[in-house]
Amino acid sequence: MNAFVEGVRDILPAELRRRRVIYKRIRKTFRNADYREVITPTLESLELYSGIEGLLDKSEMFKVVDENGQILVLRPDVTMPIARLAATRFKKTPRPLKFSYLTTAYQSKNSQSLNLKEKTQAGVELIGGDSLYYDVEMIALLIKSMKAVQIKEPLIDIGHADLINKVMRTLNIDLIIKNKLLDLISEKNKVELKQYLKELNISEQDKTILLKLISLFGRPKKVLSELNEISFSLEVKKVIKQLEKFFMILKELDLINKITFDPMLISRHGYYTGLIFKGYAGDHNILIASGGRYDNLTEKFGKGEPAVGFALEVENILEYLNLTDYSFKRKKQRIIINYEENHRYKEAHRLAEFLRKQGFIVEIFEELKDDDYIEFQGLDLQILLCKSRISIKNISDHNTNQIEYESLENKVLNKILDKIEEINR
Amino acid sequence: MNEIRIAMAKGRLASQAVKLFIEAGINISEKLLNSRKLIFKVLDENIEIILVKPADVPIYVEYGTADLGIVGKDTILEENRDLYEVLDLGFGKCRFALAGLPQQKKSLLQRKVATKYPDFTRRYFKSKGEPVEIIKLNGSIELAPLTGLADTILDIVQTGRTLKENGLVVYEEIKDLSARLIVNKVSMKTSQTEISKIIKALEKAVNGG
Repeated sequence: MNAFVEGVRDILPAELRRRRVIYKRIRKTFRNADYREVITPTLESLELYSGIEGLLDKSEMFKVVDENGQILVLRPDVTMPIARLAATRFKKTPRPLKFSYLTTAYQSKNSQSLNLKEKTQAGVELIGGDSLYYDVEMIALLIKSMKAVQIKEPLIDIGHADLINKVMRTLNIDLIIKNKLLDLISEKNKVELKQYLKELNISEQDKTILLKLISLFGRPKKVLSELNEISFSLEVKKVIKQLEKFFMILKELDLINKITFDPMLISRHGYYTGLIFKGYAGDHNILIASGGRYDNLTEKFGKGEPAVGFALEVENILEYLNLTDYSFKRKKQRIIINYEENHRYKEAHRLAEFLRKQGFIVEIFEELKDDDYIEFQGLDLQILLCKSRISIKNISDHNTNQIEYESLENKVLNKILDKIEEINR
Repeated sequence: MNEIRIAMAKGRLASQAVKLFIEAGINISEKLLNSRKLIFKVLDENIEIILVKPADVPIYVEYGTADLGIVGKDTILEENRDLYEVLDLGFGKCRFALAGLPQQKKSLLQRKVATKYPDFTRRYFKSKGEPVEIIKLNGSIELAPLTGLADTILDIVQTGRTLKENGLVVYEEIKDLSARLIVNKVSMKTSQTEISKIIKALEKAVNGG
């Protein structure tokens, strides 16, 4: 039997320990900004995800048929279920709604370099608010979350769906042509765009605009000043004005040096209507998060309202941390107790219970465990109970402390605790 | 300053690419073309060159292991990766074409197409709405119609001499091809200064200084 499934994997204790730290830090960051965590079902109806242009190809979703013949999908993203939740169960609650999640999403193919079918996503959704300040809050919260998981150089690339949509609208072209243009623009494929435009029946001025836009990105200030030199329609100019204000606020918050602006940032998720952004780890070229505004999404469920959110890709964060060799500082708290003689078992047990009460993780063995075992278990300290002395070994630097003793009275227990705390300092 | 890693397709494209880089003022030693080494540091610049098989260039670039790549448009189309394609380098010019024996059989229920580019072929015929059977070959594609393995081939054509010598004709020209500069989507943003500098220098060299 081959019980191996491609694209999914077991998460083993060492990685899980690391994940727990990441989960904890992300959850704390979200909670501090008053986003409340929800869990939506793993199974959703296919209808929830169908009919949204550019969201996800049906072929990329995992499908399950239930006993009534209804087709279900393993949740390919979490934004949709939360939008459903907001428009149904929370229809009448005061706005804005602030939700967070930390869960898995399933896709049979994805373009990110980690080719996993089951991905862990942590994100927030802010539903029922369309102020520019909510957009700013999202960016600030994303940077904060990235810093919380020790990403050294968070970089947020920002775009705006309205820019390209409004430029496209003035062109008055067929959907097929529009999609082809969008493909070329999202590839920044100036060469092919130039060729393709030759055959198109649009004005020379529009052609020049498209060719200028395709290679325009970078620091917000520079990009904005170049955008202002292009003769756009009034509609487009309005979007640019709004973006100017947005970047100004980010500057006032001292966040602007972490921001780049790509007016033609086009997301795979077609549901974004305004702000679009991606978060990168600048020092290792890894995509960490993506998000944006989706003001039309909840309409589907009978209550149209503005919304904005983002999702962090937890596996990408782990990949980044592996590359940077960063280990989260934590207290040395995993302890193994070995005892030399039979009659010391009772005392070893007593010491273990004493330390467990203090919050340490303790295991007891009679025989001396070798380095392989200690390394595999990720232990920090080894305590050896001999006949007349106790030795406490710090695994990471092999330093040993000795304590003389006769019996394990309270005074000795406290001495051991002092030594451990000394090591931890 | 981030170091920029450039993946080049081994072979003819690499030697032309090296020439172009030298014209652009980026001093890559021509020695790398005759060496068996696969990684080269460019002195004075924060650039590293890696030499890989053509089909692997888009893979290295999509994964971000290389920030830039130089490879033929044929390979880019076949690999169909998520990346930026920013510059036509002007060399390695050829085109995708459908070809076969002069008397094309019209009564076929389904065309059999032999090609080195099965994925592009599949997408091409899908967009035309024509069902075809695709046979992936690894070389000497012209042999397929001659031996009856397939009735049509989809291949790159440069001068058309190989086709002519084997008694084949072009049915349809599909697309002009040439060497392109591709960029990883994340690097483009995180190392914008360094990458823009290289793109600008190359663009200038392509347009004749």
